Amino acid sequence: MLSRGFALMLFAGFAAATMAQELQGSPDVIKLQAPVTSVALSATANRAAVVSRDKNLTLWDFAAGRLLRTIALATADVDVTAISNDGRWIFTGDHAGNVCIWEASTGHAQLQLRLPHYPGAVSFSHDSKLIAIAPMGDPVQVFDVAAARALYQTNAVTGGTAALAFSRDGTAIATADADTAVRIYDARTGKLVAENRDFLLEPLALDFSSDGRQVIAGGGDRIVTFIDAASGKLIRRLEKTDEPVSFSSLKVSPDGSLVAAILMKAENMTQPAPVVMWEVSSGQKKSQWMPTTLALCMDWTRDGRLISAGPESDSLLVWRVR
Amino acid sequence: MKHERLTRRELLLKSAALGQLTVVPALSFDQALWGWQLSEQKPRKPTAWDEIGPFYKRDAPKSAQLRRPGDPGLPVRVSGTVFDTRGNVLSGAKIEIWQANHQGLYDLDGYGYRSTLIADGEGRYDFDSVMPGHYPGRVCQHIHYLVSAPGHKPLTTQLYFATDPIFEGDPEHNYTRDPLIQSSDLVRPVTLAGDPKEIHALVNFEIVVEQL
Repeated sequence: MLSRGFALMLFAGFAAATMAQELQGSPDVIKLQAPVTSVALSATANRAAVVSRDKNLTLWDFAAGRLLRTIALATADVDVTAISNDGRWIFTGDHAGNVCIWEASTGHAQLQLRLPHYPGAVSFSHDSKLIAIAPMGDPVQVFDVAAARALYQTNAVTGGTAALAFSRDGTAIATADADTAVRIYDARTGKLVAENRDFLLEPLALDFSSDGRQVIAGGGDRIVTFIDAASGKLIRRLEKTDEPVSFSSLKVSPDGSLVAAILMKAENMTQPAPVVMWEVSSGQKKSQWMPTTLALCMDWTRDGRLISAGPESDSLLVWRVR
Repeated sequence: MKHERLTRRELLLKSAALGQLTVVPALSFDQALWGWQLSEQKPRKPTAWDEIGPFYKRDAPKSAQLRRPGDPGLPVRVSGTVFDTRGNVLSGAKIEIWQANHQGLYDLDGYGYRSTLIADGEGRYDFDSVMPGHYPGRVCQHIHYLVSAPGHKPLTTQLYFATDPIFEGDPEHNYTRDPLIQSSDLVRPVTLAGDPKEIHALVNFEIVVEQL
């Protein structure tokens, strides 16, 4: 006869497995010629930009499993890849600090730069017109992509920026900074609007709420934190996660009702870690899904589906998490 | 030709460097001592930058004793001096350090193996810790530094150990095996000292920060 506790554990395990199946299904598998070094998704455009060890940047329609373009890179040592929401632009930044924005339809280099240090974080604006690039340890630089023109850079902060996000309307940029502050800037001028210093450990992931009024951030403190974007004041915190994890990325759903996070195991960031979703209004955890391999990126579709991707030997796995 | 306006201090420094500054007996002892110290100063290369990493935690306690009694791992004492690029010692410089324990794990909940040190009147600092383990996902054993002093650029860097097996005894050539190491200068020699039953490691790591 099973003890009550053990029966509950079995039930919980069964429920979790069922939920995982419902959430995940089987992933789409994109076969590559070499292992993946960096990847980015645009769920809106059904695009995956993948850098592999054979020094190729490949652009895929992940829904159809169709290769759209191959661009030869100078190196496979790419630290950061990003793709604009509309799928038009792809960013690659290598460990020597060479960055390039590629036009996906032609494969031509729209903008090439040499940064003082390799990029640590990159974000396109939601309308795909601007890009904010944070070289590791240095100020954030913002560019008009179509004009291939530098607009401004933010003031230097100690240690630099670990994560960046634009508000939906493109008027604000939030940064998760190594000095443990979250800062909010006017995206048109680069002027500091507000900052929050309630984190003890470095915040590593953030996004704006759908209305742009709040910044939602997480990091080594293991707490999802809501910050007023106008004042920088702490609004509320969700319950601290029990597991020894940190945050790798964080994204709010298009309707603003959910926030999803890719976590990373603090004791070993190379191991798979859960993808978790919380309801914004209640702060309740809605789901937790454990990928079979390390999830490197995620994105929401316009109709509220969450797509995530991660490498497995010479393939890219693309999961429909929700 | 570019003309530069020199400050009195810069003029003295340049004079000393060119051997053109002589301390004459009419000077007071303090002045003579200052002149001698000036002649000992030499320009220094800024310490190489390294990224801050994801586990910085502010407000670490001011204690030079990171290793608690009974902590496993090879005891290590790290010491050094903080300079500016002109060779002046920077007393009062703040040195924040953090590292993994001997098993390669960082303490995120508390302040284990984290400290805030203040350079003394001669710019010196030291602390007792254990040799950090290999953090999974990183190639080398390392200790993180964040150094700040008024009027100077904050420096983030990392200290590495020449005894790390990854270097195979030749850090000068093999330091690039860790892609985060920007300069072999960050890989410091390790001296083993003490009684055979209580061996500890000694490491010197001098810091040079740039003026704003």
